Amino acid sequence: MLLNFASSCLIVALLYYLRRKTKGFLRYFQQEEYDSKRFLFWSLKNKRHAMVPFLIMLLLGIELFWELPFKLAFPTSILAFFALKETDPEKKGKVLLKMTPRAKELYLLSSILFTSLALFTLSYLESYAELSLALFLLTAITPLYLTLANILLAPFEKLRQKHYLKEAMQIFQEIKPITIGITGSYGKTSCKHFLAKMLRLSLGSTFYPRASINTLMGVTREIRENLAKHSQYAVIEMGAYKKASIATLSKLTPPSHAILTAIGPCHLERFKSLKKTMEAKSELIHALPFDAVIVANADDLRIIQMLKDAHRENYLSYGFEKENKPDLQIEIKGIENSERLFSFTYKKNIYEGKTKLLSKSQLSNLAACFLMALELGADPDLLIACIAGLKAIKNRLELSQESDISYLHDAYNSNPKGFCDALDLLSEIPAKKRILMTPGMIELGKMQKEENERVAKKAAKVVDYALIVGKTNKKSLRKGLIQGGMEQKNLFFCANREEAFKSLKQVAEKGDAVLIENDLNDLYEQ
Amino acid sequence: MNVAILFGGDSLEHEISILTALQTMEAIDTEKYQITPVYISKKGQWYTGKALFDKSFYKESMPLEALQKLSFFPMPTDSPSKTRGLCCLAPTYGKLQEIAIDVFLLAFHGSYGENGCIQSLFELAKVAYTGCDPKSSSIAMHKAHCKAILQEEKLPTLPWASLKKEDACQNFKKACQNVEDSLYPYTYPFFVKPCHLGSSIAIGAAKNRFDLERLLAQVFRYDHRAIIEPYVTQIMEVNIAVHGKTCSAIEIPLKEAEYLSYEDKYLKGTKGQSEGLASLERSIDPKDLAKEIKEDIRSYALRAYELLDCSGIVRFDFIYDLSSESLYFNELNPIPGSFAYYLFEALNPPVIFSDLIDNLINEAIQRQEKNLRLEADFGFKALAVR
Repeated sequence: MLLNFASSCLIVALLYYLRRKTKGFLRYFQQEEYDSKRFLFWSLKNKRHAMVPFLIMLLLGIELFWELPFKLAFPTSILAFFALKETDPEKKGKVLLKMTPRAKELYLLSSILFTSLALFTLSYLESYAELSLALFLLTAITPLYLTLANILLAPFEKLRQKHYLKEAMQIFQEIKPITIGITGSYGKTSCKHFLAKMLRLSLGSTFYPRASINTLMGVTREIRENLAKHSQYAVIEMGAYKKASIATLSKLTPPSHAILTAIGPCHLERFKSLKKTMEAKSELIHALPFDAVIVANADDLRIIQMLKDAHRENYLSYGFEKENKPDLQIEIKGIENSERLFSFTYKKNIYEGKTKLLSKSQLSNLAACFLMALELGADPDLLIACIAGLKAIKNRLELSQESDISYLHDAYNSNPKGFCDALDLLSEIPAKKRILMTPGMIELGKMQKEENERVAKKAAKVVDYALIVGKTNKKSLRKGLIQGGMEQKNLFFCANREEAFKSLKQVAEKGDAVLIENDLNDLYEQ
Repeated sequence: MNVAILFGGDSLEHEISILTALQTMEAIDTEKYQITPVYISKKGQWYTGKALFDKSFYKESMPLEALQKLSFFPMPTDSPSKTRGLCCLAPTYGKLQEIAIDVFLLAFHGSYGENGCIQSLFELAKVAYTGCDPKSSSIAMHKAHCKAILQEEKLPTLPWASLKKEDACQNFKKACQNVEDSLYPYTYPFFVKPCHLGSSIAIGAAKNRFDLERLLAQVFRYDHRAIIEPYVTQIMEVNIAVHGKTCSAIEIPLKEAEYLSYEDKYLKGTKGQSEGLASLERSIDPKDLAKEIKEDIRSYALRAYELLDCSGIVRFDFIYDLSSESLYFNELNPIPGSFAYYLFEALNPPVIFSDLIDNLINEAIQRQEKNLRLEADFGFKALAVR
């Protein structure tokens, strides 16, 4: 192909487009935790990204019937236009792309791959048809550059991770903090934060990974960067992403004690069944020494079953239901001045307290942490005082007032139990009308449709208006809401979060209460 | 003259320090002084760079990699070593490079920067730095000690109890009972605050035992000791800054709630975006405050400045009980927010911020000279061979 001005412009436009598009895909790759399979599966489902290849094929089709003047100008313009249209994922989007060393390496290697392939391919073309076909392929396989780069870098990444892991293990073994592992389908992050604050206040310096970091490499990084020499305690949230996740994490941070929160249909996409979920979570129980303090949710029979299966009968339980005979009985005593009144009865002692955390699930988490801290030697009255000062973690049932409208922010994550709890709490908030804004729940595998319908049916009895965000669960939510008794005219459909907030501004008035439940990451809003 | 402006640090008042430093950088006379901004991150790394002059640089996740790393080596000024004082960690031509600084202007608030720690480092290095020396800084930042010294010198202060965190952790109920007993005959409400922190962090009024417990738990998240005082219900807070023998105008900060909170101080104000304490709503030199009270405030402030051996600009906070018409010393801020420049600019004639800074710098140099005049050699006697 002659390297004249027109063809040079085309090559530049092509490389620029591929560069911008690859970076855009890198954001989603990062959100899929660099899992090539999940990323490719997602990119196949999202046809929006096929726009450019499709237009190029269309040009080819037109050229077959009618010879295009200024042939190269058309694909050049298409490529340039879509490249400029592509937003910078480091600056825009719900979850921004973080150019970590790994992300930078992937981006660089992908760039080398597509540049080499593009220059090599374009240099051998002789006809417009061949050119169009080549452009189509080069743009259609954009996700593959990242995937291939990931595969090529995998051995180096593995070596690096091995090195970091070894370092982190050494650090942790030297410091040897008393480690409490926390697992469950939900409540892990809240429990981690609450327990860490209680231990830090009442017993000693406590290390805990930030936010909801609960993977092996995430915890490894936290240990290397933030574990202080004098840390006496460590509270580790243990996420089960696949079989042996928790077992591996337990080798890095051997738990001395554990809290088991609850088992529910969360992340069923990964485990496919509750039975497999229970097996994965049980890895924490198996990692514990025999004299470990185990604090378990008495109201979750699956948790109790897990303990029985692991032959661990000496555990401490907490719960609301008297018939489950929990060691620590939780009682709700109403609301006073926007604070929840409660009592914990343990070993015949009654501890009465107040908390700004209003929902039943949060109270359950507090009870778990109270029991663990108490067993570790903390003063119970100090713990109750600590609970009084605890605030909700950001976007986990966080109540706020803005322009005389009550907002219950539960955007971080959603599971059926949490969603129901949030609805119960919404019903307790005095309001002229109640509004729900949600895209529904995800990662529930086969149960996703059913669970969204079920919760939507309950929601219809609590809320007056509903804003459904995105297409992911639109049908199930609509079905559930209508079945629950909501009128069609009170249902709004919004393409994305931005649109939903605009609609919310029109619907919500002073004195209303709004529940913002779950917030999908960019992957699910495409 | 080369002046380094230091701010930030591992402190709960980190952000406030940034605001004070930005205001100082804006006000300082750049024709007289060559400025080197030195930012200390929350993790303790020292940085410099042009970006530090820009307010928009300061976000929750700052691009610190754009800055140059620094360190400080406390070698005395007469040391022949080139690796002393403020140095760039990024080696130039394979060597660590000293940045020549004549005066270190401290714009810290809270732990490590205001309580004598960094002052001690600069004393060790025998360099000129602004503000109180280590002894006055640490006394000022320990509310219980400060009150005890001033009370001993017959300055009026409210009675108080103090509680250590370790005592609270051993037996919390008993510790709270002890607090109530030691404040007797005063009863609820009490005012609870951390012993070593400023900026109204973790303060609150306890109306009953439950509140007391909750507030103490809150204080012990941030400090090892709590101070509990009887709560003055009809309270008027009155502040005055002092620099040397000069008192600033008196101010009454205006508040929405029962007491002046962190939010009142830093998150509200007339100027929209927070400018730290400078943007707090206040009544300066209030006409309806009796002359005698103003005189008392000035005289107590000057006496306390002298007693505690203060230097630089400090701010004294007083409480006036409207029901009993009694004035009490509340607390001392050895590095007040915004250097309380707004109070000096309210004087007649005003003392403008850039002149205040000039005075601070000159005072720092004079103190260094005074220290260098002291003999450090007493002869080799104790270990001399007999």
